[in-house]
Amino acid sequence: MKMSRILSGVSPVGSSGIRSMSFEAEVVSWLPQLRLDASGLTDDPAWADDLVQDTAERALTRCTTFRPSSNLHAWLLAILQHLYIDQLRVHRGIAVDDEDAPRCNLEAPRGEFDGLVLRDVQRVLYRLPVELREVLLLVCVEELTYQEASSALGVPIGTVMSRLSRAREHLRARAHLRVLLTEGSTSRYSPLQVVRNPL
Amino acid sequence: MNNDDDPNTVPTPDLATLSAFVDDELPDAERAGVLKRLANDPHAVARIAAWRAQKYTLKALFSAPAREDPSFVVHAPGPWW
Repeated sequence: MKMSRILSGVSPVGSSGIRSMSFEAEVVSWLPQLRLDASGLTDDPAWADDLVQDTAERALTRCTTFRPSSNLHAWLLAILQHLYIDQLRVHRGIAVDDEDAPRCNLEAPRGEFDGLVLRDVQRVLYRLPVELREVLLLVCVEELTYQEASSALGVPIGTVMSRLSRAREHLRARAHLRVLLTEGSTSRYSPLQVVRNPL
Repeated sequence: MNNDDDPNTVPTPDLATLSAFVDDELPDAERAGVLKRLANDPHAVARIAAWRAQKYTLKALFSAPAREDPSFVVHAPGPWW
């Protein structure tokens, strides 16, 4: 167990050298984002925390393999996803498509979105094969470019594109999806798209 | 024979191309081709609208406020003792 997790804040320790320190600081600056990324992948807050922790540790031990001109977030995501896949294989082989995955039972976040819609999208999202889900989240939520997603996942851009379109079709065919139109501070629901059956 | 202006001769974009259109990842020429095709392809338009709604929804889904106590400890490499 990682007993030191209970310490609050972020404490990069044991480093030396200016480049190393600034690299650490940059890695640390991405941790909150990585936590969101990990939550999207794992659907399990504790597991997400472990993944972020492991990712940060691995990133620091392998900092020499990072090319300074490239996208640090994409590089960190690649590490995180490799770790995720490893752990998935070892410990949680069936958790991905488990109907009882925690997020399936969570109350949807409150806010401007229709909770039912969000739950529906979540439900479908967590039944997507992981290779489709991860690319969908990288592009739609993280707003990575195709090139960056390609680097993060270690697959050709053509694969990114085809997985993305398959993920979208999968979701479109299975989730009720409506969007609301927001105007200024007021919002109203609008059945802009009700996706029930594929065309 | 030149039917370039006939939208019916514009091939239906494949799904990966439509998907890249949604993400604004197409080169200008290809993007123009898709736009041209969309004028006569309500199914493709519906698909794009649905995908855009998805993208918007996914962002909302994962933009929930962070937990109150995000804390991480970063262990730098070093001897285990």
